[in-house]
Amino acid sequence: MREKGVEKLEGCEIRTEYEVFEVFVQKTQADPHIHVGSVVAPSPDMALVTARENFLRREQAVNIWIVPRDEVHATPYDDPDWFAREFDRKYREVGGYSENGRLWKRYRERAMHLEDIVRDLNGTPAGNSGKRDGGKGS
Amino acid sequence: MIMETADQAAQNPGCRRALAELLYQLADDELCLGHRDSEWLGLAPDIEGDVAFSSIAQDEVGHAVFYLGLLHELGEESPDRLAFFRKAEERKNAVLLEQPNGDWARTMVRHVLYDAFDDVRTEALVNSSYRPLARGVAKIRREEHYHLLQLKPWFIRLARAGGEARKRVERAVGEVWSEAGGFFSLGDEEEEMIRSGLIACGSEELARRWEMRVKPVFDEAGLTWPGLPPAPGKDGRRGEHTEDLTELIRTMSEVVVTDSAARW
Repeated sequence: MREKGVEKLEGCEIRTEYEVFEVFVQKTQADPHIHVGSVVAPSPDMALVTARENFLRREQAVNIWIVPRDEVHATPYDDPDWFAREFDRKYREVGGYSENGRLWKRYRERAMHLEDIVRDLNGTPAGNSGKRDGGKGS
Repeated sequence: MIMETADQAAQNPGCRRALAELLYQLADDELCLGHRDSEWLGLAPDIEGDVAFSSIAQDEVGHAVFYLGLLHELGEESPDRLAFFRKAEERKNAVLLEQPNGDWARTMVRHVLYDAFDDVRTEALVNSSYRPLARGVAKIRREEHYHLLQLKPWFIRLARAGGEARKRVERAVGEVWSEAGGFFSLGDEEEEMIRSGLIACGSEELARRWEMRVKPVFDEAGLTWPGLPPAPGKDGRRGEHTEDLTELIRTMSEVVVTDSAARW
């Protein structure tokens, strides 16, 4: 619990010490919130107010998040094995699929006609007269 | 009568005089407070608040530039000349705003009281018969919204913190109250301002609306409401000022007077 610097005053919490708030800014509604830095402030509302002028003096944004640093849970720096990846995982990387580029190109170039779409839905590939078993759930 | 341009406003000399009077009051209030705010640069209680408060200072000066620009359109001198080279007795700001800042508590108290007044006054201007003023005021009100978001929590926080902070807030309220009444004066042209539809209401109504705005903030801060402030000893709207304004103008124009023809 973060009791340090918190006083009860007439039923209202007044913090007399500052704490660190991490600041996240969203540039447009289509963007994610990006971490831009931190402010020290005595309360979340003051942190929001000072964050605007400290990080958005010249830039536009639509939203700011502030998060008490104490509420951020992080991996340890002194445990390098946390990120250990010792064996070949090339298959997880895009580069591991050398065929991808060519396949995508062919897919995009294929003109889609109504018949193709119907055929796709029925699970019958074009130019393939052979029967396919169902598709869904298999 | 709706006036779209400075030329239209100038056709009626009485209305033109009242409009200029009103614009000087608006410009001089914002310029004085903006300058005093800027004196906190590098000195505010924390670095984040320092940056944020400096922005407010720039906003206030920006508003002054807007009003001085409207005056220039009416045929007055350039905004720079009006800002730096007018004598104290030609200025129309409320006396409270020319006084030195004092401590942070006093700065917050004065600012919150003024921002509430400016909110009430600009509200009475959004439908002003002088359309360039009405349009600009609508924009200014959007910026002032952030000022209250920043300054009201400071005011309430200091007052409720108890101890030294509360003592200083109480002292500041006592100190500024005798001059706070100077906000509401509209000077000699009040009647004409209302007759021409430049402003929606007079000084008594402005004071009443201000009280409705500020009293709940005092309640929230746990402060006793001192009642409406009395009429001030010196009426800044009539050009009555203190040495503080002379000092402010001297400091503000210190650089420009060294070479008033220099280009920046």
